[in-house]
Amino acid sequence: MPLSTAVIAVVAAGGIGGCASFGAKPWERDLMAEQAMQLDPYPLESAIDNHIYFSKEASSGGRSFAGGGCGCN
Amino acid sequence: MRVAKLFSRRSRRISLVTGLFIAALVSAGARASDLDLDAYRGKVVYIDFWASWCAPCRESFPWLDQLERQFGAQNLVVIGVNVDHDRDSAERFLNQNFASFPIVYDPLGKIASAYQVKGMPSAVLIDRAGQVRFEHIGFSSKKTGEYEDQLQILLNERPSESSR
Amino acid sequence: MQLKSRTIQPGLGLRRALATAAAGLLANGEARAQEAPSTIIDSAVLVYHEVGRVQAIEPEVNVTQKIDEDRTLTAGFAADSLTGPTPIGAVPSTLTQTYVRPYKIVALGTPVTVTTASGGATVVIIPPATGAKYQVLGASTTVPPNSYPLDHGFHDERMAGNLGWEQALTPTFKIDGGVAYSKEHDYRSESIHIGLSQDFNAHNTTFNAGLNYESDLSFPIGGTPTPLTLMNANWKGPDASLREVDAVLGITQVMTRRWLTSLSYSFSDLHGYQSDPYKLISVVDPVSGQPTAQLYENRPDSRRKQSLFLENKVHLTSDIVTVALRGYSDDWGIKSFTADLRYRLQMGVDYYVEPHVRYYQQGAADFFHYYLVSGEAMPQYASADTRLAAFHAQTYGAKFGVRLDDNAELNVRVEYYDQHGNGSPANAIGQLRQQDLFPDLKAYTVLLGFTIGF
Repeated sequence: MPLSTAVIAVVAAGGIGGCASFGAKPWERDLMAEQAMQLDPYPLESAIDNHIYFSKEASSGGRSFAGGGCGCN
Repeated sequence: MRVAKLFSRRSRRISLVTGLFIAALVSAGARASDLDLDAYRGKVVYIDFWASWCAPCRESFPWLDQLERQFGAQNLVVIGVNVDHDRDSAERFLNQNFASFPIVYDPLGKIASAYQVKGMPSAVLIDRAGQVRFEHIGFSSKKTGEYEDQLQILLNERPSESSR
Repeated sequence: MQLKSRTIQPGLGLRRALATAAAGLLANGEARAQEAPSTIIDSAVLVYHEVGRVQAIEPEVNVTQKIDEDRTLTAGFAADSLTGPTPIGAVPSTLTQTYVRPYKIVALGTPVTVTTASGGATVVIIPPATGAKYQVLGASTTVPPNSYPLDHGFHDERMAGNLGWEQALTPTFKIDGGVAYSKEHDYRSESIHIGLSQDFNAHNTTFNAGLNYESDLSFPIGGTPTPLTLMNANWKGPDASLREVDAVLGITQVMTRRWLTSLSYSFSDLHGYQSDPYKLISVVDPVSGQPTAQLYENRPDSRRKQSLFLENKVHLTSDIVTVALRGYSDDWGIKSFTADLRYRLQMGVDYYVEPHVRYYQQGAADFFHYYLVSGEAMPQYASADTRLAAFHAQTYGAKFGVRLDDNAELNVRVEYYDQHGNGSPANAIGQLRQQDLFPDLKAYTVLLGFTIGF
């Protein structure tokens, strides 16, 4: 695994470790509910970007988009 | 002492008697962190926690509205507690989603916190003796039958039968 | 896994969650509660232009239809039309170079006019083998001295479609699945994917997993060449297939009311034909550096990729900052790093502008060579495709959006991409020292988007 990936892993582990103690109260999800705060707010645009970058570069996407949002129901 | 902000324009439609009760509540200096329901002892209270950003709330409002029409005579009171940080957002929602029931504003989430709301929207059903009997997390139009059954149980209890 | 949580945006109202009709619950004369859209149509058109190279136009549309509270159906379609020159892979020379590839088969005796094949290549007739009843027409491209060899005969049209399904089985558990199909004149791809997601901690933590299987078929014009054989215009080998399996694991965490973070790990395993059937690699003279032969490239049959992706979104007072990082490596020896930054500046309720910067850098594949040297041992795999070379690339862009209505948004995004590699490797031989072996790739894109809900 390259150094850059290792750095990301450490940063992420530091941030995500202790997940249960982080978060927003259910009545505090107003900002998370906004369309622009979703992980993939413009799916067509991101699909097109992936298509362009994959045709010019050697790396390919591979990310997920679940989570965030208003947390309703 | 902090007083819960009450009353949207919609509250003009609630009955005068209920309005007087709530006015009494205000002038008695109800604490914002604790919705004072003493005035409703003897009535079944359905508290609905909602927000302008909560999608299922849009679905729930027509049903909440018709609850008052359907069960008001049996002394059901519906109260909508709004948790928007921003009053304008709540008002915009109310302009588009009619509510005949009273709205209480809880922008700092103190009432929500006091009732330990676990999801949005949330409903707390309180019996005639003032005890919390049922809680719902989320709203689904498929479940309104179930919700109404629960209300019917509470409404059928005579005040003296409710647990103290 | 592609889960789209369509939620209400306060004040902007776009992409509200879809509601079932509250039939029969309203008294006569009462104002009707506003119905949230049950159908959302997303459309976009991309105009892509590489300076001196390919141009493409790609319209795309996606429809999301709420079936009921728990189930959503999506369908999408894209078409693209690509024209213009692309690098052949051969090195530039101080001498004129000619490249030929098979272009068409016609029955023996068919009158042929020597015209230009699409895009400026010249048609040449290949004498048939003895007894053959057909003749091959080749496309011949002549490249002047000291210019980077580009094949002008490139025109491709692609159509793609996808169908998807998402269902909530419980308030915290969702599954989704879908199929996709894509076809161009020399390539076909079919795929199927499934995924699931589970929420914890009052929807503050979401774990998700996805699996994708793809099966591709390559049927190049002129057939599939035998790797590392000499360039020629003879008709070549049969179709070649490729299979790919991808897995993604992700965790998303609402950190605070304003901060969302998401980490995903993905793994891909590919088996089958992965070479570019049209790309060449030059064999050069060890002293003069002049090309003496052109060979078809050869990439390994197998490839394993891994990547780690971290995204953070922070909602300031009204603006939103998005920072994403990705680290990638594969067993072809390629490692890459990507950093992407967007700042959405909200201007009132209806307008926003979002500047965007992306930095990308990659290392070369183990078998990437600018050229091979005559007399040296032939490697098992070799490619001169600069897509596999070491380079860095920057993207600079800005997006402007306007909310037209509660359920409609129009936006336009303009971007500039600049890819820069080493065009003068230190150990270049002879005339190659004065050539640019990796010209910058510069591209402009304009993306127009329109979304509406009913």
